[in-house]
Amino acid sequence: MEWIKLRSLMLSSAVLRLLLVAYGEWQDAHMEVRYTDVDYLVFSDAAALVAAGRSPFERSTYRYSPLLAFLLVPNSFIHPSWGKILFSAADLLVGLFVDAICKLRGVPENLRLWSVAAWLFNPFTFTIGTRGNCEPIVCAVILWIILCVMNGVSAVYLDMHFLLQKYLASICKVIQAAFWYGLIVHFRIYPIIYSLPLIIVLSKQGIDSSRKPNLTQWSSQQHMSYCNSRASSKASNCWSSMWLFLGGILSWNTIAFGLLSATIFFLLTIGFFYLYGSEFLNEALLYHLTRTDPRHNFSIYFYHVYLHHQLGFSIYEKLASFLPQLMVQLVLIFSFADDLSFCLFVQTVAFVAFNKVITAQYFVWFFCLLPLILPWTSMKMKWKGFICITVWMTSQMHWLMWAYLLEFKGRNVFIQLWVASLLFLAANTFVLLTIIQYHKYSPIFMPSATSDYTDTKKSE
Amino acid sequence: MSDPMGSFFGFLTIACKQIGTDSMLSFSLEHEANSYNENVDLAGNNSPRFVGCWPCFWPYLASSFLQHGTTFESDFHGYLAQEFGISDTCKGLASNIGTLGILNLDRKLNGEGSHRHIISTLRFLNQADINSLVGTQECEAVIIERLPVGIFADPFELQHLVNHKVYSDVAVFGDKNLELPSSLSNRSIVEIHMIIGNENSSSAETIVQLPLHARYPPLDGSGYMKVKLESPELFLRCRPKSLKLEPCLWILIELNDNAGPAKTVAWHVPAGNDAHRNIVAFATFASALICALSVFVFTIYFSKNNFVQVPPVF
Repeated sequence: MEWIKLRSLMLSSAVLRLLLVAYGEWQDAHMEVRYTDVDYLVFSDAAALVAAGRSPFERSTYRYSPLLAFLLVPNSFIHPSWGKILFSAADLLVGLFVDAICKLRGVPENLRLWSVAAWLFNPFTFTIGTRGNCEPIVCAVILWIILCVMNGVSAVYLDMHFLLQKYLASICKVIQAAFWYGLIVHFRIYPIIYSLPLIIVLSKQGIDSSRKPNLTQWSSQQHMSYCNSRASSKASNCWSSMWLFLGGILSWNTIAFGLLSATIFFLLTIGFFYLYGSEFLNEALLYHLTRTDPRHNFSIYFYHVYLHHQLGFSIYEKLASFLPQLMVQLVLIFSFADDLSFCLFVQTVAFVAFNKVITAQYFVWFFCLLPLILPWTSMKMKWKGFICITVWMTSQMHWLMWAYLLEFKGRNVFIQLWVASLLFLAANTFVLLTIIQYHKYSPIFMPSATSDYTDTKKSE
Repeated sequence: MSDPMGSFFGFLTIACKQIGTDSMLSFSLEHEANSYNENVDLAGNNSPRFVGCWPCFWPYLASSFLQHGTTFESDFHGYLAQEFGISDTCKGLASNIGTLGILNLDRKLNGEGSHRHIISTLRFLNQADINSLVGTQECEAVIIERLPVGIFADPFELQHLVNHKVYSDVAVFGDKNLELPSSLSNRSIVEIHMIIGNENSSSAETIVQLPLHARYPPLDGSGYMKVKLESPELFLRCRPKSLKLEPCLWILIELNDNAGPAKTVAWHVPAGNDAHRNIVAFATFASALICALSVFVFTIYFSKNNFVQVPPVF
């Protein structure tokens, strides 16, 4: 694969996306079924309202940050497809960031190219940007935050030949990461689940603050676990010193990160509240937190919500749906936070699977993190990889079949659809656990050179 | 025909057709309203009812219907009688219209599932009259659909159709929320304007296709809810092609299809069954718990050596 350089990969994906945007325009104009997503029309209308000096929330079903409407204002005077081009560009940026992150961790070129291709040529990915969904922007920002965290506090010139990384090396990274994190939580609420792992990882950085951050490098060895030489007594010490942990995560880095990102978030919230009033709060924030949409979606809770819609929901029911999610998130964070990309990936998969509402666009949230963990998995495409993909896709197709019968054929198949969603949750759980089982755990940062850790350092 | 007002109106109709534009008869508004309502029985089966004159600046017939404290079930005819008066200019213009009636109105609900089209086919009684009418007048059919709870029209989709020249104009009044289930939403009115007698004037029919969507209905033990779509209100509005006169007015005529019983179309929408309530609640939360516990146990087992180490406090 050496002859396929990154550049040609990027170029061909750019061409593919341009062609798809052009095709989308043609299909919209000539066929009954539109290529463009309904959401894109909502964004465009809201952007047109902003361009006219009005509130984007006058457009019904606009439930996003006003920032998105601002970004799409050129739709009104450059071309209606400006937004799609922007999202596709964010798509390509994600590819670049994946390459940068893997390179920083010493992944060899051919594996890197496979990882980048796993994102750029994933059919799900290129359709979502070209159809006008804004998720690629969120993915790009998340990956940028990971890059910032990996590049550390110190303004050290890292010996990279990549133009992007030359730029990266000269900016104070934690501050930047905090800024973007505050922004992205405002934009889309879900990245709040990444707060704890980010803080944990940043607290590790504090150990080597005056030195070049030591990133563990990729190795071709097939160790299943980084710390298999560690005595099990260490594990029990971990449990007992959990309270020490809380004190341990406090460092200048984490405090700065926490304060700055919270400030950015509140500034944006207050600013937009001042501009657009309570409509902004209700539509862009509260709607997502209290959403009980009874219409069918992949989530196991949809039928329950529909059956109880007229009765209202008690506090116990709300709590009951929140507890599995919380339990899973916490156990994943405390097990994997050191291996940041992997932690974020498994957290996102679990978050989407246990969420009250699941739509297809949420899958992009973990698809963008998948290329970051591929170099560290010992799962081969045959047969474990193939099985995972097949199980996940089949359960999805099964659900889609029943949904089609319900929505487009008018048959009462609510029970079957609901069972299909339970099976989808089971499939997600299976895939998640398989990925965990075959992952080579490797914390991002090398631990500091104390006697406790030197014996566990991986050889290169 | 002992009613003098009724016979006056009947005379007017015939006189306009045969004599010409100069018959100016003065009615008071009150009389007009009375005779308007009585005309149902007197004018005979398929003749139109002259409603009044509609100012050009007022885009939609139904726009103020919901604002006067009326409900969806209120008498639309009574509302129209109140809204439209007859002025002299109006009568003058009306005399150009002649008689039109629709032969029949066919209603068909096309499609399966939650997204369907209601197709209304209008066939005019006298096609020659239409052809001669559109020579001098610009005419549009105005269709007013009163949608029941449980069905809605998407205003954005309809606007898209206007952009593609399928309709000349469209408006939705009432509850436009696309996402709520039936139990929490209300009825709406859709008003469609379609040009008649355009390049397809060789066909005797005007076909109006309205895309509709079903909401999630209230729970029903049978598994389906039957939603009924009543016949629409049909009107014709015309104005002279050479629009030089002030004030600009449309002549509004109501088209009756008295040829048969009211054409109601039924739509069966799948509904959840409240008998499932408890089993679904139990199984949903149980599955979530089981999956969450398996992730929990598995993760701890597989990462027992990897737990986040407490970093030395600085």
